[in-house]
Amino acid sequence: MRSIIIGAGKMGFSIAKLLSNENHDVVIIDNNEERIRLVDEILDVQVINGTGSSWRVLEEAGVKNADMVVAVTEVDELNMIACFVAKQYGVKTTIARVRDTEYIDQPHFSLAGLLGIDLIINPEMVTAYEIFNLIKNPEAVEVDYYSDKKVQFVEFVIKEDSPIANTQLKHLDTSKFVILSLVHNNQMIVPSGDDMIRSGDHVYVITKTEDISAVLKSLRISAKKIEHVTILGAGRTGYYLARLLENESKHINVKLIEKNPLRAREVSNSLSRTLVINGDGGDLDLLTAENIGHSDIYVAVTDDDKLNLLSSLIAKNLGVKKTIAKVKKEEIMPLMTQIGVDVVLSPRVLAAGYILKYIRHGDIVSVTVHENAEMIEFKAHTGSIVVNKQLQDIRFPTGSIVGAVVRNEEVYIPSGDFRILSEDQVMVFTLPESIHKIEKLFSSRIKK
Amino acid sequence: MIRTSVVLNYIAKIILIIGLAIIAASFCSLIYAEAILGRMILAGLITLVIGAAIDLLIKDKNNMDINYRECFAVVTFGWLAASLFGTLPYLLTGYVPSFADALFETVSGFTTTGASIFSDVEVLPKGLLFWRALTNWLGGMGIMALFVAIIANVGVRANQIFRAEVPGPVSDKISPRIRETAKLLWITYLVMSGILIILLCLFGMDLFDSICHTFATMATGGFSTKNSSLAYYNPLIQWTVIAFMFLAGANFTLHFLAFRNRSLKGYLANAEFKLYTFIILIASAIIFIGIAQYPGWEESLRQSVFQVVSIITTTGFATADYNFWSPGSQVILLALMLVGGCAGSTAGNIKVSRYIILLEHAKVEIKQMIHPKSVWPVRYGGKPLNQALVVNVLQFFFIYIMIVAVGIIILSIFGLDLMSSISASLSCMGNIGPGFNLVGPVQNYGHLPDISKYVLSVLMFIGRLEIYPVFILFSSLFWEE
Repeated sequence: MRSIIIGAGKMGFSIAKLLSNENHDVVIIDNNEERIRLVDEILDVQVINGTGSSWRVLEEAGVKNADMVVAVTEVDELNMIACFVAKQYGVKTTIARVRDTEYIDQPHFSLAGLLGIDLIINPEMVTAYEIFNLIKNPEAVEVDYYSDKKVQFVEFVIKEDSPIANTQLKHLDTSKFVILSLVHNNQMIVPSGDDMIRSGDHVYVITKTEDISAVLKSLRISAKKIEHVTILGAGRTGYYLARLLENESKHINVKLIEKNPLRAREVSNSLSRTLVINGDGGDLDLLTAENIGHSDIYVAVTDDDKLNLLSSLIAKNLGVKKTIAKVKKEEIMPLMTQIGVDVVLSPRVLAAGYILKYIRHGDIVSVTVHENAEMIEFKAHTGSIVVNKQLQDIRFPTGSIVGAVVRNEEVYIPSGDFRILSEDQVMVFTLPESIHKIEKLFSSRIKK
Repeated sequence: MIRTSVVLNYIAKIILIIGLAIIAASFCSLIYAEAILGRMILAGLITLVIGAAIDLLIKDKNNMDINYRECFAVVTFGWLAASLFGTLPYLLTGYVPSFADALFETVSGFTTTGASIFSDVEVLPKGLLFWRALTNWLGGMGIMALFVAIIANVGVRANQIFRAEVPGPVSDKISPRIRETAKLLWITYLVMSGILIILLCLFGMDLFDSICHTFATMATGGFSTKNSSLAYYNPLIQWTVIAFMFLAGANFTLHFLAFRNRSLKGYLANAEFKLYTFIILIASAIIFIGIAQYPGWEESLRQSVFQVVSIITTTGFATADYNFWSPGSQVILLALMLVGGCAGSTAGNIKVSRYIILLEHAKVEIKQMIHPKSVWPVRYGGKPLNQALVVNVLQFFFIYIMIVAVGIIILSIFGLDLMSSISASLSCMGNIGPGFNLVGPVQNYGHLPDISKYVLSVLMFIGRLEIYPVFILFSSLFWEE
């Protein structure tokens, strides 16, 4: 599969790396010679120096035989035009990074459809949504949604004083959810009923979105209602997040701290309920005066990694229960969690994952990577092995488990006697080495 | 820099418009075969000749592009010229021998105040009554707007001339071209006037009175052809006038858009219009409960609504002598003398939109006290306003009150009692007309000393042009090369 990536910035680089590892033939186009040389040295890809919206350059990159074009330069317009041109050459999948919401929120017609862009990605928006999900599920470390947000995937950490620590899984009421995996001492297991939950474990759970409170009850995780959120940095991410909170969570009070007075004025003009404060996130006096310690969640999303880290730590010290920080340098992510930032996010990683999720479709509807394991959605074809059998009678490979089944828009959290019918969408959580075997279980035997 | 030739060139054209208007009024004398016909035509001809003479005297007409400062000069001196030449019909016909009286009556007309020095208007010839009403009507939508609409070559600065005259802190363009905007607004004004004339005729007013009262109503002026003002007419006519005063006090852009889009949604989406309506409803309700001297609830309701609408829209028609109303009702009317209609209407005064901005700013100020470093926009109709405009409105309010205060002091020094001074100053500055006590709805301004009449004329003038275009001329910076 031939893929062309326009823009060799950090995001283009991440995607190129991921695709190259998945055996795509990757061509990278960028007009910055130095950047191009750097990519050429590190990755096994072809590089071209030029402008991605130019037909000459695209033809040189082999656009005629390409299956996919991903345009992720800094310039929205260039990305859109590049996709538009690529589509004229018959490229099947085009993906553009567009950050200006003016282009995306078109009420009257779809700009994407007009220009032939299959997926528009806005990394800051993806990050804002991710943080928003975490705010809505404050006890979770990670949250993901599937099937029109009807199915929720959540990662929890079992606290030291948790009443269910040292309990065997079979003693928990798991009628409303499935425990997909336990991570104990960085070791991931797909558990059976005899496995024991210990404090400090990460628990991965899948459930219906509406049943999340039952999950919390069963795992004895106390859900505190989020009332006050402080956001540091009114860049795109901070602004999108504040807007999301204004529109979607009317009971949450949002404080948004921004250093640049002009930007502060600008965002205060377009937000209504949010309290916009002009000040420095590293300024202890300001954070104390504005009673930041009272916040339930502190989100640091400035462009400055160091400031995000510092101010998250100050906030934690002032008594904030949960801190979320954005970083640009992925390398320091584990380091930051070690020092005490609760959640660390990288827009680039999130966006790359988002694109990957989109690329890897086919029978597999969506994919997310959790450290090693993957959540894959399979369609049960007529005549495949799984159809019309009870789950307990199907021999799933070790290290895989069925999380949820979607049938006619309806979500089922299955137990052992659940029967899969043809055309069901089945979400399977699995370790990578078993993917191939599961694919066989679901594919039609007649076809092969 | 101010170039006299450029300013005079435009003022000459304004004088010509006034001359034509006087000639139009003399047609009325012609129809009714009045003795003053010759004098009226003379007044018109003098005005036209002077206007034409000034126009001819300016030889070099190549570089007539008006600059930023000249706009203010044109607007203010243009209005001044209109007020001066407008006195001619009164002076030449001999019905108003004193210049102070004639000036007061003319300024009151053009500024749509409707305060009068006549104790008996019914003895006046029809030609003069028509001229009086016409000054109201021309001043209502604006002499400058008319000038911009009918005279083509003002260029890019037309926008500024138009804005300097249109009432209110924010004005909207309904067409990309200001000339087109001015035209459309004048057409809206004309059409609504036409409808009102027909309605008044249908409900039993004769044609001449219908036209005069329409002019005074649509301009929120308030000159009547009857001594007892609208009290002379039947309830149906009074309700009709209430409705049209209300419309004239609302933004004409909204009327135009409602007509063009065939939809009333524009009104409901407009914060100023909603507050304006709300104030009228509340004030009417309180007064309705407070007055009991009228037989029948319909009359009580009509009297209270009429007076409230008449004062808030700065029309100044009267159907009742509210000097005899309860103190509570009087205070509410006095308070309404500080409100005014909507931006972009023909009403004068401070205007509801300015109050919205002031209130929004007060809210922001309080929030900022709690969070000293917080940043809040002052919003108007959902849209954030720039700081300069907010300061402009705050300053406007301050200067407005100061001028009213100075007016009160001068009037009381020259012998007027406290309540009369306060209400006369408020009423003239706000272009309303009647006040309380000696200048109440059944009284007039004729008994005041000349000096007070000049002071009040100045107040009406400053009030109509919304302070800044007048005051800017008093700055030495303005006249610097």
